[in-house]
Amino acid sequence: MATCLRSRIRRWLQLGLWVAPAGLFFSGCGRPEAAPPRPPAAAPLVEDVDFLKSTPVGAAIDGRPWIAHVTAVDLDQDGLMDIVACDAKANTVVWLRQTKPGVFVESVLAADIPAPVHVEAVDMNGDGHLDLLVASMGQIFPNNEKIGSVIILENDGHEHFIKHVVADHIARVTDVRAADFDGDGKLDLAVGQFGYDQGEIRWMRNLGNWQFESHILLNRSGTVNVCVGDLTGNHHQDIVAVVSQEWEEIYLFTNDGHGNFTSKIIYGSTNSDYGSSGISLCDLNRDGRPDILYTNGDGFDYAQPGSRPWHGVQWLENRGNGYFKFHRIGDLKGAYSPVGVDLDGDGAIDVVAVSCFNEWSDPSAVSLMYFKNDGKMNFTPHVLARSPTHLLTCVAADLDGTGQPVLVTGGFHAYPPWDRLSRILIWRKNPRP
Amino acid sequence: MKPPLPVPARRRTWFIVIALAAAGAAALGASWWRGSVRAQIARDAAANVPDLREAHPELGERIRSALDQIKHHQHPAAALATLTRLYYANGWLEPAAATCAGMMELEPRQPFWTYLLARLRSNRGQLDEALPLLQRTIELAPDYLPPRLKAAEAMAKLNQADDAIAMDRTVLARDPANIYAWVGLGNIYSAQQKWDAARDSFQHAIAAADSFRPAWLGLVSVYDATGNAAAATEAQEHVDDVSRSPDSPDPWIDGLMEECYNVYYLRVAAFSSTDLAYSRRLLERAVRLQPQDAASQRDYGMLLFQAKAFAEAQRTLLLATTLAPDDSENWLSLLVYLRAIRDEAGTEQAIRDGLAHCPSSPGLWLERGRLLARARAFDGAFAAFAKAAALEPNDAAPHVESAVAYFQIQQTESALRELKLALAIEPNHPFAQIVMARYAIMAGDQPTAQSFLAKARLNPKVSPEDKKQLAEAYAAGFGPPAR
Repeated sequence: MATCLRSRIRRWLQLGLWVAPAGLFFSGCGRPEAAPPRPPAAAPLVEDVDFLKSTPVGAAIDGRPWIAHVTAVDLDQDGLMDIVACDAKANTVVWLRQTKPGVFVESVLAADIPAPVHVEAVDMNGDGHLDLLVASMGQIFPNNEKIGSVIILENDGHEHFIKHVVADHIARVTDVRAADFDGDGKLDLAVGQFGYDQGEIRWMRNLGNWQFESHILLNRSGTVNVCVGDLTGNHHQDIVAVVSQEWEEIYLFTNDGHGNFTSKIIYGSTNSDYGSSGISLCDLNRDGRPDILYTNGDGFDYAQPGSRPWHGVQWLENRGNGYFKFHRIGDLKGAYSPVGVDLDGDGAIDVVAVSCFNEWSDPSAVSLMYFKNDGKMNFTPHVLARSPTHLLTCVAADLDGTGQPVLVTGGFHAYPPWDRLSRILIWRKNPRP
Repeated sequence: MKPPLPVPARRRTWFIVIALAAAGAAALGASWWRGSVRAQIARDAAANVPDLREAHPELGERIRSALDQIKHHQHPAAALATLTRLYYANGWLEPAAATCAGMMELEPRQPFWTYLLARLRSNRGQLDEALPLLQRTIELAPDYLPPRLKAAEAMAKLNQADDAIAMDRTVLARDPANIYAWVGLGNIYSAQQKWDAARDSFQHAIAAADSFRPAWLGLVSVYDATGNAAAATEAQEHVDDVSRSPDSPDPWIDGLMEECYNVYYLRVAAFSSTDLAYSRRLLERAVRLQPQDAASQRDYGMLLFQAKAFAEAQRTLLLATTLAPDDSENWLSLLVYLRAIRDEAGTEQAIRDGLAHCPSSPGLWLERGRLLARARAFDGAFAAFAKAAALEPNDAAPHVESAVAYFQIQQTESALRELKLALAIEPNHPFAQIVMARYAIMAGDQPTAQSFLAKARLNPKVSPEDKKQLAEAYAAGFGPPAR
């Protein structure tokens, strides 16, 4: 009998050993099936401050420069790339003409343009000479008055530029691009107007003889950039625009080929202080569709401008049919001016950005960064420079005709500190030992 | 002696004892296992540790202590919660998202964590991920309205306008005077070009809070779009100059800033809030963390002034000028205060001291000019205004002040010259427009008077009373103005 009892006890204990795990299972101690995904850890910062070497070009620094935009173009079509820039303090558009390889001579192309902030080269009238589209804000600092204008500097081919004011007394203008939106063979204009409380996005139909007819696409303040291209694969020129202020959205205006646009938001943040600062188009993943590079780094909202922890660089991957997927590339306080370029020559397009609003009293604050693409759309931040500070604009181009891109930056020193100034710099690769 | 239990009863007793022992073992095992799993969740979630080298010592200590607790299985949920709050408040947003995701696993029915992760995602523009989290938050906390407002905003940005409208209406069903929901509706209707509905929504917001800037801005846009220039101008008069529209209050999130150790972020958060008590707490924290930071002292001083704590405001603003005498903003803020309390001697001293330290400050030269003009020392005043204009060519104020001074000494031509310079910089400067209009009326110059009258009519910065008086003066001089 004792044996029988022991065997029963043994059987019950064995049962208990099974009950315990069963209890675990039914008690919900396992991890939830649908746990929220954890974000990956950020890629570590790589110090690469010896990768590039900067050289000032153009006029010497006088006071505290406000270079609002730089672009690279062979303006006189002599085979040497030049630089064209907007000096928002002197209210001029300047031409740094490459007169011989590596030698840049600056001249004023147009004066008395109040707060020019963007310039694009395009042959507007089909005469074979590159004209310049200029966005004039009227005033850089916050102002809701209708003091903006759209100006075209017509190139007569003899280094003389004739000013045509094609729109004025409108909300402050921040960007102008050209494309034939209605398929009539003439280049029309896409115009972004930041304004302040009120602003707009419009397209202007080219009627010929420097006359344009405006069509408002959006009544919203805060447009920083407009870009044009076939973003939907329908073989027509669409418009994409980034709208900051409290909206923090990117709009796609899809063109039917006749100048009729349907709009939708392709990106939006609910953070009204996100600080959208710029977009550019680039086929980052080389799938044949233009993607959107996007920086958020504006810190001008507060009386003492500065950075925010969410500032950085991202891209909107064009998935076709007007659908874009957001990808964060990396953090960069005060980020401005995203540029897609294969900076290191490894075959993958990297992303370069500058910083204008950063904690400049902190010696580790970065002013020029490139996010190295490993070819699979994974990006590692490489610090290219911490000085000079307050860089607002950047462009990449083969200025030297070597097949290697160089960077050009513009400094915008509107607030302290004033100890590391720059105006216009060319950044070339340091020869590696 | 009691007889022994019958055999069946003994079996039942053993059965019960063993079953209870097994259940106890299972419960203990489950508890241990649950604890282990929770500890593992916390460890995984806390794996992404930010760089603490530049962190405030106290902040670093708190984070390391929480990490230690997690490492040693001590109150992992509480420790992870601490990390989440500290990471979010101090701008380490990806580590905050990771720890927040962990807290969602540990406390799935606590809406705060779901909402915080939703905000982290929606702030980054990852609205597809954020929206389900916001909806879950609403399920868990149906009476807390900010998630509904954010969900409506996210839906609108995802081009789900009908859903966004419905969500805003759920807010209004609980809080019919919620100005943020009304403005949200107004913005959606404006985007759809449903102007009547947009106008009505903005007007509802104004009825609830007649100084609510976003509502007036929305109305201006509606009237602009519908070609009603007069109404747009009238609405614009209610919008003050270039200030920031406030974010909707969100106590769950706003409270996190009281764990922030970055004085700049504290100052920005204080500036962005319309809750004076909350702003005060943040600025008090900033000056406690970094008492030598002049900018924090300055902001705190201005807030004390706003709160009418005058003695403390003065002491704090003076301290800012002592800590950073070469920052002209400190002197200019002090001058705002001294002028408000009409301390002429103090104003004079502050301008003198300020310019000694900041000789290139256009604002201080402007103040010097005003002071000298009040004392009728006009030569000095004009020199000061000219200096201010040279230092800041984009500011119309020195020219306007010069014009006023020239009028005082009857140098009318010089005054008009300065007003024209002011208008070249700021075409809608109200004073300049009014004076130019009045002068043209007095001079019998009808075309110029008509031109300035028309500009003034459309200028939201010109008060209705001034517009009326101008129109009457014009009519008296030339007859009724042409429309």
